[in-house]
Amino acid sequence: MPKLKIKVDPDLCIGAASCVTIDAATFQLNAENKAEVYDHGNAPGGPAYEREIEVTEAEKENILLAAQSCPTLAIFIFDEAGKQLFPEP
Amino acid sequence: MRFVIVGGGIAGTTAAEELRRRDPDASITLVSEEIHPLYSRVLLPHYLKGKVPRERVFLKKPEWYAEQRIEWLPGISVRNLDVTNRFVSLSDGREREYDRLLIASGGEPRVLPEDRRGVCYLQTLDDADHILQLIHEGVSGRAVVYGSGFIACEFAELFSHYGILFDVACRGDRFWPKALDEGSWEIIRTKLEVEGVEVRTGVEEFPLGGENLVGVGIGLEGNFGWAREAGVDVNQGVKTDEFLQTNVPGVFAAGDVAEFMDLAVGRQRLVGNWMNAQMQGRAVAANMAGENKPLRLVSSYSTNALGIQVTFVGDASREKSDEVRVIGDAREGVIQLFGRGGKLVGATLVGRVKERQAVTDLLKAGGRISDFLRT
Repeated sequence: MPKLKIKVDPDLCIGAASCVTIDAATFQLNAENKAEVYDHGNAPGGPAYEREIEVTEAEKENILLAAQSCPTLAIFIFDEAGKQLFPEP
Repeated sequence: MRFVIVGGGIAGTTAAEELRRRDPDASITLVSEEIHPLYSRVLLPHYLKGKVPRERVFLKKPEWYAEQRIEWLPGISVRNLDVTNRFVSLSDGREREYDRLLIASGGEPRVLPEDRRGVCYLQTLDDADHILQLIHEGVSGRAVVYGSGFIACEFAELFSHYGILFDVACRGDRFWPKALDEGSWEIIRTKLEVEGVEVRTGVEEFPLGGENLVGVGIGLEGNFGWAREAGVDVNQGVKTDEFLQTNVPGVFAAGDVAEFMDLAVGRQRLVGNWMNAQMQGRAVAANMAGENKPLRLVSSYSTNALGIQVTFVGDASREKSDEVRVIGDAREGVIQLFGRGGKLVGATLVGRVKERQAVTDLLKAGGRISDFLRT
């Protein structure tokens, strides 16, 4: 299964929550109204703005869709090799 | 199949993209009044504060449209719609026939009767460029924010960011008068006053005085006169069912312009935010392609008023609800829960956010206010 590194820039995030609407297993808002990254609904090691998770192809598509839906482009997605998949650099 | 989409914002562009994904052979025309490729209006405040460079606000490159074989007509608007012969006449004299038409023309800011240098709006990238120019030229005296909603908050944040002293003039008796109660407003008003902002309420007309910077955010006017003239049913927006279809066969609407049947809250209403426009763009494309899937989305939006978090979930209208429960106070933040016919339909959260997800989940599940109070 592919691995993705998912990163939220809390400085850009405004809590619009479109990522949460699309993929609540990967994104949840914290007490500051910023999106944090989850691993299939879990937060091993505590809450984090950045996480590497193993996903299926379908899950990867949905995570990319969630990132694309962010109106402030606060979500960054990298593949295993560290290549930035979104936003296109 | 020939698709014509009127409006190059997030609803229209998402629909175009989704239609192309579904139908590689379709003819897709995207008529856009603005000359820019798709950009994020939500990023404009970040751009204005220097958090992101101007080029980062764009979500599509100009060449994307041709790559997707979407006929992109920037700087063009619709003059006339003929629903019998199914074509639109455009401002440059051209005509486009359609099998399915999408009205996603958004809205235009309500303007002051008087236009003058220093009066600014915050709807488009051009507006943002104009504001930056004014700020960089230097502002003398106190600026004014005229309005009482999301855009007013953005102006307040922006002026504060640049150290520009300002006052606020609201048309009603508070910010979001249709949604917020006295307690919620108290939190925002107190914060503004602590920051040295004078808040004037009941300012129905705003005669320009000596101010050399006025940020105006007094709502949007739907851009759909041509649709009304063609017999499309309109009210405050273009009326649609839960499939985003209008009363006219083959004509759909999405985004800020759509007064759609919101299944999540059980009434037809306008919702003007990014998430809603984008999700509707995707949903309407599926329906235009023949899927007939109703959209069910608990829409929410959040902003920051000088450090106070303000969040709206679902149908946050005091007037349209038959039950309102208020939780909390100025110290811990205020939640209002709105109910209708026994069901939770909306909420506002001011000065607190941690219950946002629980409220959203409960609304989605069709729960009652009492279910929330038990948690």
